[in-house]
Amino acid sequence: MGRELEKEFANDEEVVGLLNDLINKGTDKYKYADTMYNLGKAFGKILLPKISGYPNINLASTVEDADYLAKGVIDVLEQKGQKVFLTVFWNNNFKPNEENGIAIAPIIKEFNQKNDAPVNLLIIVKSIISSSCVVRTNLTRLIEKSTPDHIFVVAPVLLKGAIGSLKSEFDNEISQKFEYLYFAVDDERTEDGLVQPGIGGNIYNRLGFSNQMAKNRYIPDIVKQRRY
Amino acid sequence: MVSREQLDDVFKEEGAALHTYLQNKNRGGAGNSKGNTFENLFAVYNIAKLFNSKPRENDNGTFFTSQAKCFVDDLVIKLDKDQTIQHYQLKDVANLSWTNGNHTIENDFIYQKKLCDSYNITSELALVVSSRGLALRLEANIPATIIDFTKVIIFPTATSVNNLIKTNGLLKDELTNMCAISNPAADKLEALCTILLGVWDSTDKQEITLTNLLNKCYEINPNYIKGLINQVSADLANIFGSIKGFTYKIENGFIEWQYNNTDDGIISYRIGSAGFIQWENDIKQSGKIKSFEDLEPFLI
Repeated sequence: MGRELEKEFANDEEVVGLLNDLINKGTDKYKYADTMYNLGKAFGKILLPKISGYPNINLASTVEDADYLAKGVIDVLEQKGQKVFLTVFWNNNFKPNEENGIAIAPIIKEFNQKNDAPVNLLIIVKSIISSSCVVRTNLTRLIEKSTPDHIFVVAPVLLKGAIGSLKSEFDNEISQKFEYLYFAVDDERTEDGLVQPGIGGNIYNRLGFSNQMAKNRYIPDIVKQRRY
Repeated sequence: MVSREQLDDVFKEEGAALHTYLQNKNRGGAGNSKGNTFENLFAVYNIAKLFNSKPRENDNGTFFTSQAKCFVDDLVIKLDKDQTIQHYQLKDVANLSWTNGNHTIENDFIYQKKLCDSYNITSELALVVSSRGLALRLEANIPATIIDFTKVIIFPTATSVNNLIKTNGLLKDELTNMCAISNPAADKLEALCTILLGVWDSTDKQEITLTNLLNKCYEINPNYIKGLINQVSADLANIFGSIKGFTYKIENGFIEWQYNNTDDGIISYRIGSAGFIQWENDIKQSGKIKSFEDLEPFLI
């Protein structure tokens, strides 16, 4: 029971420290956002040597991750001269029937940075992957619109089994393109669906959004900067 | 659904034994599970199919029942106030025969047909299976006693709603037709299917009208079910029209918008719904909206 750190990061003080900051209930919303940004930068450094052969990169995230985790990745890649096009999804994540427990996350809004060239590489970032409902929905949407050669699925924390769950929702032709980058795997989830220790609770609340509606009214700065 | 008196009336001395059989059969099937089961997903397919074939509002003449007390009982759909009844037997299995067992599928179909005919009810009877190979074998071997009134339907199954929509063309076509959005993306069909499934699952599945199911769906936002209102108020149209680069179209009761080829979305509330009225009021109460940035927080 508990957390298993990926072997190569188990002794990485920076990564372990950042994951612990997320879990720490005393971390305020500003530090929490910074921590997500720094985790994004850590992933950016890992991605850099892996993406050199791809001229057209699309990075996709949810609205709540855009200014922090996603921006951290993008800043590292773009500082090294790699142009990255951004897609952001606003999902409405809910269960129409709490008893049968089937969750859906339809996309109610999306931002696609103007990019006329075909996407070769897709990077989808998410603060945590547990049921994989949101990532699967957004990946499906991205694959409806493009045919990337390779897909990085990037998240600081996964729930044990999430990789298998995500893979099972796609044909082999698509799922064989997936490469997962993560720092820790947790194997415990509370009755209300929160992974333990995960990312220290519900990300909406940790970032200061009162609820999902407030999260979906938020317009990330990175979107405003890349819109025109 | 079938009374002891009706069984005695139609089947005479067999009535008592058949009544006991139906009671046991009904008891065995009534423990149907929640979630994306074969039975529930076939019900969702039929709810969508009936929605698409009927006037969209106030259809109180269509009733859905799961595990009805009758011979062909897994899903029973009464159409047009009892004049036509569809009976479906559902089997998500690899092997099946018309004639195996003490109580055969063949006999269930014979009894059901006789019962319906005796009360001048037009009946449609079908055995529904998930395997194409099995369906072909069953179809080639329908017993002569029931071949004139029996159909075999293939309804592929899958491990999740998302996968089912990809592989089950019957379901996908009906959901697409029911969906307010033209050429709907996968997430919209999945949402619609899961909402129908959730609403059906929330009932006791006994004599549920199409209208009742739809009304429950309309309480959920977004639901993406085709609506009838295809215009917005002049005030709202003026607000939308004043924003450079913002375009929108209204399709089957939902507003689809786009901004400068970078942003797009579908307003979650069906035009005319309580949620939509509140949403429109919130926009108007917010003060003067001069730019996309002013409007954007409301585009949810």
